[in-house]
Amino acid sequence: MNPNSADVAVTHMVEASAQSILDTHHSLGNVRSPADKSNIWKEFADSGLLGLGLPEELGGAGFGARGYVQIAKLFGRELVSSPFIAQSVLPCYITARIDDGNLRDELLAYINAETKRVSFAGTEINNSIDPFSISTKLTDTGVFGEKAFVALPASAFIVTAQAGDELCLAFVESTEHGVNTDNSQNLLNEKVGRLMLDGATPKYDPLAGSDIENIVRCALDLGALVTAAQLAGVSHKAFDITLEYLRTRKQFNQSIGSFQAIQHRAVDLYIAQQFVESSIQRAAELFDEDPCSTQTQQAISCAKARASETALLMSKETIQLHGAIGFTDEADIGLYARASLCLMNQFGSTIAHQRRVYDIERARRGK
Amino acid sequence: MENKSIDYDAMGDTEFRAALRTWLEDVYPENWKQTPRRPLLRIRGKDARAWIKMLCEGGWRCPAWPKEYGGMELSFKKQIIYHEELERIRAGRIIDGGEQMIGPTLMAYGTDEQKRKYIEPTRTGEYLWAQGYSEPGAGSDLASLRTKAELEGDHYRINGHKIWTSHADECSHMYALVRTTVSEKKQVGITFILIDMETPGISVRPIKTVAGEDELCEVFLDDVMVPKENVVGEPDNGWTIAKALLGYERVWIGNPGPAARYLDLACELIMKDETDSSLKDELAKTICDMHDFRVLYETMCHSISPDSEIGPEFSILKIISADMLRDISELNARASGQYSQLDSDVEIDGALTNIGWQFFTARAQAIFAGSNEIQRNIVAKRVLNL
Repeated sequence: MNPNSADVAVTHMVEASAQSILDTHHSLGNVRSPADKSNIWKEFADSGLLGLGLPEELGGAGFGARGYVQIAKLFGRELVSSPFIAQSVLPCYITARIDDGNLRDELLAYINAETKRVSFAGTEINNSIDPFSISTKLTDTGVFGEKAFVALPASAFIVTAQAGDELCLAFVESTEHGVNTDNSQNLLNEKVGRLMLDGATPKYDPLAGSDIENIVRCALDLGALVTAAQLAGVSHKAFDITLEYLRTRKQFNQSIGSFQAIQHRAVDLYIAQQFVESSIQRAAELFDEDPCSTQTQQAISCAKARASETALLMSKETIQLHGAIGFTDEADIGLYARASLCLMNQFGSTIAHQRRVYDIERARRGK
Repeated sequence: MENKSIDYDAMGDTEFRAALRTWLEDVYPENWKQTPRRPLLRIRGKDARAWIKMLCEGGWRCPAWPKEYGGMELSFKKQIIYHEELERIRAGRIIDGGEQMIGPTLMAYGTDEQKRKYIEPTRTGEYLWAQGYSEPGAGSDLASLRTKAELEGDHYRINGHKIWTSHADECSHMYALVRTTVSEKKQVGITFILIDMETPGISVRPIKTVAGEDELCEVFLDDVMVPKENVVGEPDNGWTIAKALLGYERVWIGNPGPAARYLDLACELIMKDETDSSLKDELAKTICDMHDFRVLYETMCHSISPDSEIGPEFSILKIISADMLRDISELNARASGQYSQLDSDVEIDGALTNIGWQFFTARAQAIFAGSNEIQRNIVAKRVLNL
């Protein structure tokens, strides 16, 4: 279960490369107000950060969950706003697992491109974590349905749809007849929106079958796990900033961190953060061992639920522990709460994941 | 009574686990197992001695002790497996201060005579040890203890009052902290001393707990004469000795086992089609908590290397374990409906339990061995540097 040292070394190199891009091209201003972030994406593409999950023979770094968790934590700490999961992690995961052919070639071209992007569109307005709980259908006359909170802009979409009893993946270009999107701005100043499909014709034969169903299930779980890791990074940084504040801010002639009422709350946040870190690490190890196992699903749902709940807890507590300054736009601490709210329900709400764990445990106990 | 000779070092971890599991499944008595009726069942007195004898005969006694003292000298990894397997069979817990505290303390600080006299009978269960630390006026502020020991020739004359001494009425000996010198810094002047419970002047009074048990005691010491060779380490330096072993206590005391037994009860009460969905959702969250607690516990245990000290961050395990017991005991009380009012064992839809017992027994974990508030103080100061 231990990552071998070569993997760890590669992950460190990638992390360092991402960090240096962020140092140059990213600032918290990007979170405060809309900004043009296309240069960051271009740098990511040039450094090979967008194809990490592809195997080496396809030009990637063979990244699994453990590698992505490290990068996502960094993105969380730095409050990076980019559609990295929907437009890089999941397209890579799917591309690496489908048969070679025109579709795979096209996806590879998208993944490595500096400007045009492909978005994974698997979620609908019901926000279910079950890939089958979707209303989008593939019929003889095209794809019909509506996907929600799709990362935009994108020139093409990997859409999940039901074709009879089967789950299928359809590749649809944005310029195709019957494809429409609308736009909203999320709390990290990314564009997200609805993808409305009204008889859109897939560019290639859609992929279907039990293999595809497994790929989609695992992709959704990987999305949940990487989101959890990003949330963990957000919480971690917010906690560190707050600890420093508690040590330096003085009232009644002493640091406020010397008061027991404050100390005990800080300890509870520390405990919450320890829970998150180990839960995510375990889930990532299990995913890399066997992404489809019940044990992995349980671990990922636990990790996602915990990361979301901890991020919420951390958001309210770190603002409160800052006092009035925490309520201002000028202080950075509120930005971490923005990121937490933005990410917490992506790839499944807390309760949805907890219920999945309940169902697995109930089956295990034979009840 | 010899520890049966088995070469544990030659076994791989998996093989070791399998061997212990087979042995436990063969010999462990049903009536000593924790159940939804008694999720924190403790084995005490005569039963504790019988269990220690079984461990000795099976070759499974004292997992952490060196072989020269008849222990198993297991790697830390195998010690974790040892405790996991005891939990798996739902073994009742024993308060084994002899194995956990006195053995290691004497090995580190004892005289040759003390080692010869005490270690082997402690291993075999002939001697059971009570812990004489707390006093009515010295709980969280333990170092303010006042039980007085005055040297008179070859003996200390001890006068004072110890309290919350678990199972003192069934123990043959007590290791105690006593005040030998009054000094400005209250941690200085405390002495660690071994007391035979048969010594004249000792009286023990059991205390009935809120759970209806009598496992706690008060120990009164009136002119108790204890030979001075019973002092462990230097007189006045007992605080250091008492603190030296707290590390491993932090690890074992914070294990997920007790909360897992409470969760078993919660699953019995709630995992039914007809249960209200809000209770199911609460249970769902609790199952996630339990999963993550196990992962965190394993992660922290595996981070311990043979040469490293157990740091103050391990205090969080005890906090978590107590908080989880608290939460699950409350969930069980809510899920039991009207049955919670009964002061007896009850059968709820086929599950035999006792709602009051599990609720009240769960309180102790957050109080003993350094209350959760004290543990949070420790983490705030020594881990978070606040």
